[in-house]
Amino acid sequence: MDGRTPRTSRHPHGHDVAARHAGRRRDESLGRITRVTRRVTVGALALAAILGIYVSRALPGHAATPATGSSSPTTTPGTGSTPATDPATEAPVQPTPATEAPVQPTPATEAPVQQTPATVAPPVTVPAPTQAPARVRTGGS
Amino acid sequence: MTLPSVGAARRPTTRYRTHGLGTVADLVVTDPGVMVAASRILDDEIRRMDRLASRFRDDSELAALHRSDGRPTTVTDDLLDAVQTALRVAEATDGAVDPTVGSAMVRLGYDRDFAQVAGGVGGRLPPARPVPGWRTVEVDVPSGTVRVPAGVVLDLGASAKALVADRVADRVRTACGCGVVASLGGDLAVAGAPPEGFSVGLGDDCRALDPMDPRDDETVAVRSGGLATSSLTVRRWTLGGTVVHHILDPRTGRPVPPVWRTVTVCAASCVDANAASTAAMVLGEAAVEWLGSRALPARLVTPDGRVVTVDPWPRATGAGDGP
Repeated sequence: MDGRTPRTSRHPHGHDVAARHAGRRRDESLGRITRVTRRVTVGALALAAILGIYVSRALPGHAATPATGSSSPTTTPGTGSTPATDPATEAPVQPTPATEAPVQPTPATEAPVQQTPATVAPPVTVPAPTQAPARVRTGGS
Repeated sequence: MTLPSVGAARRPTTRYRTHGLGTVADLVVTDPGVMVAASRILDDEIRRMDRLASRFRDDSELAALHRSDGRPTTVTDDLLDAVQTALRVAEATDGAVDPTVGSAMVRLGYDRDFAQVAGGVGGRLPPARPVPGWRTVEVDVPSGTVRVPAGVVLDLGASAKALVADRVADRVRTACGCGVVASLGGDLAVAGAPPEGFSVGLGDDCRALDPMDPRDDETVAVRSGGLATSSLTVRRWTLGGTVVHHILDPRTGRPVPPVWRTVTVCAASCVDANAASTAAMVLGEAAVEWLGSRALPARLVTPDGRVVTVDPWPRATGAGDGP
């Protein structure tokens, strides 16, 4: 024994406290980065959606047509080179905060929103009077 | 059978007649050389629809759908198309023409081929009751399924025949490149017609074979689209002594009252024309306004023979223009 006592810190757990403080500061920084990243991401998605809508409306032949079927979704063919499922022509994506409840998908069997209801279409050419003998006969059967 | 060129249609015309879907089917083409191919198309479409949508065949796809006990059932594209067409017709007519009248038709005794019903069936007129309604039928196109609630019977008869007429006319024109009239039970579709149009005799019964039949009380030329007639003078039978017929009011499940004896409508397609003529029967006196508001030229005949036309139906030119 040399009479000296072992050298110790004035605060036996000083290192742990410092480490905890450092960790907390790191966590807070990471949290801030995460929040900023999330906001930037949501903002970018919203911007992309808005731009998508703008472009789809600006360019002819690139439009999404709501289904017109009687009881199920259908797609309208012949909308130029853009497939009906082109993301740019789909319904706009609304930026949704993480705390909001997720949008429930509509069951496929529900009636879709109909832009043009089914109608009985009139003839392109109307029947004309004639004296010619009938080729076929219409009537009840 | 090749008929001589007559009247305004200068090209030789060929006519073919067969039977199917419980009625007669006629085909008229402007090019005799394509008659064989065209008649095969007609026969093929009739066979397909009969196998598909007959209420009276246990082996039809529709019968299998009725046995599905209310579960969504995968069906062929053809049946999907037929059901969708019937639902579209129901929607377009505000439910006046409803495919779920099948159950009501069965209660009236029309549950087998009409030849077996024509002589009369036993029973009594059931109480008035609305049919289940077309909105109870669910179609999911992406999965190719149809759900018919348990106990609901679909009657696709009218719209299915008109659908066949439209398909045949379209296929013959595409495959053969000529003008064509395809008629199923008097509901006809015109495609690629000559400029003068095909002349069509109007009457209560489409089954007359002779095109010169004096029973025609009017003849019109049809250039495109479809023309259909609904009539209470055919497909009638007795139910326990009460005379009933095949055009039912979905609101009551009973035969419609005889406001009109016969209604003929011209529209963009045979399916649409059939929908409108049947709806007119159901709507009764309101039919004139309903047809007029949709610019559907029509000719309606009352039970006592009075003719009411809806513009732009042409003015009659021949004898027997009606009272």
